[in-house]
Amino acid sequence: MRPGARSTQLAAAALVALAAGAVAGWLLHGGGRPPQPERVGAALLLPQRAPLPAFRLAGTSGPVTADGLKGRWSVLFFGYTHCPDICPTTLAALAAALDALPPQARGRVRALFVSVDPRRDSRARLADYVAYFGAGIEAATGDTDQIERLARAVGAYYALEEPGPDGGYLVNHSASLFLVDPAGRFAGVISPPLEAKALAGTLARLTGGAAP
Amino acid sequence: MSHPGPRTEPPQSHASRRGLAHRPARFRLGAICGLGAAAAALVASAAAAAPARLEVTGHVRAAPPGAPVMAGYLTLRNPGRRSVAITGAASPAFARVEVHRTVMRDGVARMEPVQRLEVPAGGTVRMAPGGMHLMLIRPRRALRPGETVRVVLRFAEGAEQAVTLPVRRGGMAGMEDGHHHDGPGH
Repeated sequence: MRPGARSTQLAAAALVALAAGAVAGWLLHGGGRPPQPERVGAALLLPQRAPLPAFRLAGTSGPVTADGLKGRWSVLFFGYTHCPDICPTTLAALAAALDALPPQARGRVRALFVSVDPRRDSRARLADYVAYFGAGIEAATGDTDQIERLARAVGAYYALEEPGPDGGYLVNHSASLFLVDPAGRFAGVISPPLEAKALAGTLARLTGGAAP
Repeated sequence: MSHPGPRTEPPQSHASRRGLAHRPARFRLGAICGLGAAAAALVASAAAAAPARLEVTGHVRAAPPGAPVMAGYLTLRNPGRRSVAITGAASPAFARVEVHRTVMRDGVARMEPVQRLEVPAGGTVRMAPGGMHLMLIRPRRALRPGETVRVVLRFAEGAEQAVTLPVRRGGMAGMEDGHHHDGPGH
């Protein structure tokens, strides 16, 4: 691809976070068998969960903060509205999954599209964008350092590419869904390919159990 | 692009075809044999001058209002005996059209331009969400489901083929298969 990816580089892969969690757990347990990530449907849940650091984004339904995410499961997807393929594909699957949830389970989960392209994605544009997919998906963006803080905490990656001749640019970004539990801790990931039915089943299982 | 050996250009074979009706019957068999040879040569040269066209189906995925980019997904079948390479595309409905592929590596989605999309002889290439797609950049106006979009595919040899694609909603990975119109009988 085009060399010299611009500015924002976050290279904390989810796997690294999982590994770190596993190592931390192993140390805590005095060197016994390290606690393993738990598979719940399509989700991989961390054995050790760390609270999100403080951050503040502007959301389509008001400010989005670490504290504000508490109380429900949150499904985060990092992307941008100039994304023709994977973002609409993911949001359509997520919307279909949310629509398939029973009302009680639906009330226990919040879906948040985090734009990593705040320069082009105004709040108004984001509101139109997520409204199109429906199912109550919210969107947020903000200052680069705040986006990075949240992305790094969950091991999401994104990088802006060099602009083309017309000033347009692509953004490479994690295609996974990142889960925050009702206690406001990074809890795990759902990796692509994302299929609406499997996603709905996973979310139903996650929200059905009492918050840990 | 250069072909070894002698080749018959299409204008010559057209000339012999036009002349056929005026010849006496006893010459017709020989003329038909000659025409056959000319036709064979025509097929060979036509592949270079105007490549076998593709059978194209697909759609443009409807996008949120004001979306600066849209995606189109084509199924390209090559009924010919020669591979066909798409090296460009354009549409009056968009400022620019590119063929892209979403590549997933370590959970990160990255789009790579496809400079040359080869559709092998007798083969089919399917674009799909999360994979290969037409990246339709800056729609000139909002496109709603039910409308159609004209897209011109450019081949490596310089020829072009226009296709008309419906705009429709949907577009989840794995949800496209029910809408293919290119059954084996076509």
